[in-house]
Amino acid sequence: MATTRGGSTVPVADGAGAGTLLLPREGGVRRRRGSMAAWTFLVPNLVLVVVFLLLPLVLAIVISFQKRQSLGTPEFLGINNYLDLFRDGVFWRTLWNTVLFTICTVPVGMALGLGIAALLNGVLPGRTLYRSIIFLPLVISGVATGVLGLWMFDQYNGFVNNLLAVFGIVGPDWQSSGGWAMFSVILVTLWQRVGFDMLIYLAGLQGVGSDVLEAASIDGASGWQKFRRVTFPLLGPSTFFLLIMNLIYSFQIFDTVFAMTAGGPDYSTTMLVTYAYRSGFDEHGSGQLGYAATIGVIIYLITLAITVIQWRVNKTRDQLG
Amino acid sequence: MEINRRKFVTGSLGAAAMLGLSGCSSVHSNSSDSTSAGGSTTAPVTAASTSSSAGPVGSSSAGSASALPATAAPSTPPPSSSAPVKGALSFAFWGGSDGELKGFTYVKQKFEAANPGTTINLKVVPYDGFFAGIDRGIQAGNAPDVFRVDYTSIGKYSGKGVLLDVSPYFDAAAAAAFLPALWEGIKFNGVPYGVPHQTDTTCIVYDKAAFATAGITSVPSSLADAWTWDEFSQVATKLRATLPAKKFPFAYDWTQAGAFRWLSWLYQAGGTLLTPDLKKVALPSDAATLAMDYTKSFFTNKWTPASATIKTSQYSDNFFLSQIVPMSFVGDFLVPELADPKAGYKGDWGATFLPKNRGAAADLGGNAIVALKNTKNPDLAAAFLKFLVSEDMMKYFCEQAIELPTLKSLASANLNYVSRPDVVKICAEQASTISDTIVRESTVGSFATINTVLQDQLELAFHGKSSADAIAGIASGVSAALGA
Amino acid sequence: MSVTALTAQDAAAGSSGRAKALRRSKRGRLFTLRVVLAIVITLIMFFPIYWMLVTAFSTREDLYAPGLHLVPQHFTLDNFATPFARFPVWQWFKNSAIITLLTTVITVVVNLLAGYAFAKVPFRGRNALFLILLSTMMIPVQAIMVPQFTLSIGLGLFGNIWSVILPESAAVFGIFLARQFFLAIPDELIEAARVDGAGQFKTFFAIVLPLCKPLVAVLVLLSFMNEWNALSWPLIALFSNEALFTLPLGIVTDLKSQYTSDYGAIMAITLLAITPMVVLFLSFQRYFVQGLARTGIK
Repeated sequence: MATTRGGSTVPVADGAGAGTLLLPREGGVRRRRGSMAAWTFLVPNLVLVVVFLLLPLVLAIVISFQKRQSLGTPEFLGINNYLDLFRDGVFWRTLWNTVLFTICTVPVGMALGLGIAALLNGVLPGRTLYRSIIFLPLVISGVATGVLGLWMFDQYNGFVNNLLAVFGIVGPDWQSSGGWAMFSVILVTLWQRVGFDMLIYLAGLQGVGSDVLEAASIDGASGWQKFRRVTFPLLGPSTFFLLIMNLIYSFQIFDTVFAMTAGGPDYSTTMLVTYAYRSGFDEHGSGQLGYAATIGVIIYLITLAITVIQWRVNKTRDQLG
Repeated sequence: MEINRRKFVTGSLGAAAMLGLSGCSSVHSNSSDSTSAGGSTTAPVTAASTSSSAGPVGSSSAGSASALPATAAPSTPPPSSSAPVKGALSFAFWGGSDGELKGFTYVKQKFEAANPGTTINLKVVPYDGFFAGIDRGIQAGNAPDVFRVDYTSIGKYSGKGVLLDVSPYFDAAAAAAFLPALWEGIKFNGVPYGVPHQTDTTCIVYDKAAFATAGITSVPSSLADAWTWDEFSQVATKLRATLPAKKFPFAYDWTQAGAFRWLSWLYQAGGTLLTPDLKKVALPSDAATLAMDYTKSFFTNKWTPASATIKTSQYSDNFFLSQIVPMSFVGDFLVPELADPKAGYKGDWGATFLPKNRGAAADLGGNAIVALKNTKNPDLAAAFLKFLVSEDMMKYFCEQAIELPTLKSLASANLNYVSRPDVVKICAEQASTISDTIVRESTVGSFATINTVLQDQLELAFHGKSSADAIAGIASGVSAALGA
Repeated sequence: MSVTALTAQDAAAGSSGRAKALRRSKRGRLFTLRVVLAIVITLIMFFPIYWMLVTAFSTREDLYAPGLHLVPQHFTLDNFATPFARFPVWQWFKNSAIITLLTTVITVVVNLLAGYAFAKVPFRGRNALFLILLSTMMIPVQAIMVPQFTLSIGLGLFGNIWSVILPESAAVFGIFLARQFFLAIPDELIEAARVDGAGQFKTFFAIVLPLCKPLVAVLVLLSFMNEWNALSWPLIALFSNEALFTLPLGIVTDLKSQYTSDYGAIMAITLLAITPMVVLFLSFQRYFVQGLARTGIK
């Protein structure tokens, strides 16, 4: 994909599977000569990946068929874990929470990111400073973001409610009301992620040539029309890349939630990944490792589905382009 | 300042304080001990001398009833009673307070000094997640040799057969040195796994200024005068009336694994969780409905912060410390935290008893220390366990940590609590309301699972689930746990 | 490859608009509006970090006093002293540093090697293998934490720092990044080295690697950030002992569970924990930007 559009080599929306994904085969003698060397280069990484990623994936499936508790020996259970899972109200609830969280964070985050990118695109004094600061939350850990969010949204002494009190508003119950707790996690996630969206869109906007916009202006297009008809379609690759990355990120949110609400109150902010952790490893969970592995398998399948969609679309676009 | 626990203990209900525990539970005790049968208030003295001669490590404790200096250094290093032990041992615990940390560090140093060639590696782990970590260690084969476990969780480990049977190391006399109910608490199928190390229970702490503002002039100073539920409701109502909307009258210590402390309300209402044979759940019951309705009303009446439910990261002492509530139900092990001159409570605070209804009741807090069955050095582990519960060590620990001892001899002794002995006095007296039933129900093998059920159902109840449904949920969950 | 290089283009885009006198006043107002909006957004984005600073240096009484206090009323360092006295915070720093550095070194080295093979050393099954590796890029640790747990027990790693370092080094995103970079290196350069008699390895280390400083910088920074911030797996693998904790683990378990109401202490240690990342980010911003934009890995 066009990582070099507009004469700049700034990475534009270059996700996995994009661009020069597959290299042409090379022939005969040279390949055989290279093989030994290639494998030597590859072995260290392959060993790590096979042992710590691929093997666990296979084992996850095996364990998902077991009754394995935090103490005692595992027993074969067949598909019972899966049956239990589909009957487990908490599982569906956490799945719904995850979907809700994703729906609320991804489009909003991208819209905000695009807005800020449009704002910062072009001449603006102090632009680099703004960009750095908006980007900064991204390098801070999810834990730091979570505890900071917890403190700012503390329902009795937190900054947000104190600020609202200044305007005579009684702040909501950020900790004890499920809906508000979810909202606070979404706000904090947006704070952390919007810099990423901004960045990708900023890079994308560089690729929108001024000549195209000029032409649109001459045709009498208003600012909004130009954006709607010209700029946004041209940002397609960036949007798609962000969509996938944000989907995966939101779907896998763990650290921030763990530090901020630990999934509470009740299960209001428990996500699928949080539930997997809780079922297998958390003190307050059931200590059912087999069940946790089962949720893990579901998580992997969903992730895989997103990845496959991404590849499909990229492939189609490559063919079109 | 010294406290002679006998002074207040003997005055109260029958075999009072921790002796009350022993008195009640000797009914079901299998041990040959009968020195503290119910009703007797003079037992402690004999118990003290008995235990000193039969004491685990044979420490010099006969004189401990007399005044010891506040530092409470053992008068002589306790000699090892059996063959010398050598080697290294890891000991995992959560440091509930600086006092506990200090107490355990002291024991480690003394043990290493008394047994040259031994090393105790202290592993401090946060309480939240402690047992999950232990479980992982057991699976991985690198669990600590010795670890701390509360009475309500010990059944999970003894039931799975992962703990060291300590009966070879504790003869009948050594076992008899402990308050019988607590010695029973560490048994599974009649076999002792570990040693009862300390107990604690809940009492009420309150801000004196806030009470004065609310016009609450008298606070119960003896167990007999403890508030009834109605009186407690009046207190809460008065506080509510004088507090701003952002503050609340009180918080209760049922957070997370503390969910079982809700049972105190059930017991106070005259109910029980299980049938007398401990085989079946005794719910639903009128008492349960009473308790559930009452505790639910804490939230509907805005007596308790809406976030002070079960599944929250804010514990009741945090609400008190951050001045969101002027009154809180806290375990006495938190007293060092509250009394800390720097990070502790800002304001003049006192303590009083739990409210009572048809009866008085409190929760069985406290911890045992257990060793792993497959520890490399069981003799060393057992020697360390014995050392931990030797009189001098236990005394020092309890004095630092503001907790109650488990040895009969210490139950009647003068302990120099390092902070707020007035509060300890309340808690010790409150401990006499931990009935035989409470102890038996709190230490059934499946109690850890029962506690999880309570966490889930109470959380739902406090968020609006009806009392009947919540109680039904508890009943079915507990039944499943008992059946498993 | 740098974002800063774009400014020139922006300037061109901005000035090449038809800035006719007629529209100047409207433009001027628009420009002012943009500046104001940008400043407001930046302030909002920065405020939480500022609040962390304020909290870390405020006394507890002030934090719980009613009303808004936008600056510390009574400056104090107690929030730092208390947790340091209570918990092995230095040890956490050390653990975080050791684990992060080792993981970074291993990850970067193996990713560079593999990326080079995928880009410049033809071999049978290259494309298929690359696809397989890419498909593992998005696996969340929660999907495989149970088998990773049983596996690290089986390998005898559980309970020491290698149980974190090795699985976390099994990263794939770096291969992708490295491959893209190597692809841009002209084959002629490599061929020339080969003609001179250099083997694959000599070519890689003597010719190619010296050209890759920006790539190495990106890889090092991203790996460092990922590991410095990691919580999920260390939470499972290192929980057995406070002395093994990393900073995020210490903050979220020890500080948060013991000091739930003492936000001053939590914020103080969190502030220390994020400082290395903030400094690194401000020093090497463009590498972060490149790396994150390419991989989306956070």
